[in-house]
Amino acid sequence: MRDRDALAADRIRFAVCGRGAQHFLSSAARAGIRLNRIQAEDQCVTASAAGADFPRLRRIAERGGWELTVLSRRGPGRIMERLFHRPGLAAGAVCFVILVQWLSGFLWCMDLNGVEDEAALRSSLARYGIREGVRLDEKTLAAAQQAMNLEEDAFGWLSLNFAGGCLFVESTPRQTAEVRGEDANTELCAKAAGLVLAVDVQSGFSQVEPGQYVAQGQLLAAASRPDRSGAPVSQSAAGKVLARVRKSCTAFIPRKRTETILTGRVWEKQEICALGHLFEYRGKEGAEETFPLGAKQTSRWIPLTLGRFALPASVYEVSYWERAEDTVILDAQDAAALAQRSCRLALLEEFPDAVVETEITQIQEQENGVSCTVTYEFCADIAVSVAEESKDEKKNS
Amino acid sequence: MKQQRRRPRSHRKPAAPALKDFLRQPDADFYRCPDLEVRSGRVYTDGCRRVLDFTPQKLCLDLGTAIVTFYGDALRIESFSGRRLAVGGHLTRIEFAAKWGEDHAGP
Repeated sequence: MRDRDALAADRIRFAVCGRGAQHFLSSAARAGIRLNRIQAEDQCVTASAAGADFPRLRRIAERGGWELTVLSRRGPGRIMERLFHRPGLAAGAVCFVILVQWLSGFLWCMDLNGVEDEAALRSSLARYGIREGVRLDEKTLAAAQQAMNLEEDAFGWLSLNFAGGCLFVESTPRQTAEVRGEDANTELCAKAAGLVLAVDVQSGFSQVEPGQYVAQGQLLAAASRPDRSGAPVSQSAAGKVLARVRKSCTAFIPRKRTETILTGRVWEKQEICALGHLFEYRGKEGAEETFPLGAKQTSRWIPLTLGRFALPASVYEVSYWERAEDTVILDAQDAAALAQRSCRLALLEEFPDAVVETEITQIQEQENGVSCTVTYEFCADIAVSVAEESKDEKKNS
Repeated sequence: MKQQRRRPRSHRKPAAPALKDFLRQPDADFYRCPDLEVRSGRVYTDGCRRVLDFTPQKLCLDLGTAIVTFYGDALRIESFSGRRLAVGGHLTRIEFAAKWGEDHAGP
């Protein structure tokens, strides 16, 4: 048995054998060792002592020529014994528990549950002091949830749940329902000429059928109709009339023009939030004040991680991109493409649900630019609501 | 009927020790005498210098000026530290002997 096996916490029972073993007891007692339950046997003496005294007992036995044998030992066990020799393990476990208890109050990660505009949500949360690395309390959380439910238009309902260092954000998108006024007596008219493909009139009295050609401004659904007695029955018209329409759009793009473009100068600012403290780092080039108000600003949130392990820290990075007016010279191909794009935008502005079937493009290069005419054949809803009175006024005028 | 006379109760108290008894010098070799105390079936001593012999039937101790031998069955030393020693077991006899060949050594 080695010295390190006998610990202060142990209690050993040993036997001393040899000639004059009782003198071992006197020597041990003189050395200040407390012996208990000493019993005499044949040529042997058995006794109990503290494990911490075992090395001294062994030395006394060696000096006197006695044979010392450990019969039994009671103590915390070998695992605890090894632990005793490595106090760092116990200290580490205690530190771990304390750190877990302390660090669980910090926000380590956010579970946004598939919110589409994550950056916007993070910015909103940061406005109320919620970001990775801050120490969260119930008061802050409740205040943020209440404020965001009232102020944020993107969410119909929002719930913030903080548990175990993770913030779970549950939300539903806001849905808007259009409430139609009862008093508006409206009719549906065609905003472009075309072939009617389908009629989906929800209210009012339909005046056209699928397969019928309609002219621009033609009545598609009336708001009143006489009954059998000849008295008018009023009902506001609403719904869709899908038609195939042919329409031309024209756009002109000058090859030389002045535009606001990025100069390439950028100024960055980083905010690192860790363990409840905010550290700001500003870029060397320029300053926030030197950039005009129109400078393009990009921002992003970077939660700090160690591999797949989240850390209670986050970085908020803002970049300002300088813009300045400059002359842009386009070649013919680029100008034509831009003109084509302008035509498409004009079409979609007028008919947002248009599905283009065919398009014929005519490009004419002029001295100072490119002119583009695109003839679209598309399907779209051509019904537009017109107030009955205004229509009568138009007719009268 | 003959009545038996009660004996008058004696109200005499034992003689109280005089002040001079408290102040007198102890006997010679008082502090070198072995000190034994019997308590709860065990014998305690504060002056054991050595264990001379130890068997279940006999325990011989060196108490300085005297050699004290305990006889009995299943004798054991309950505790032994420094010069304090407690003897347990079934004691039948205690024998005192002078260490240096004297005639008598009493506790």
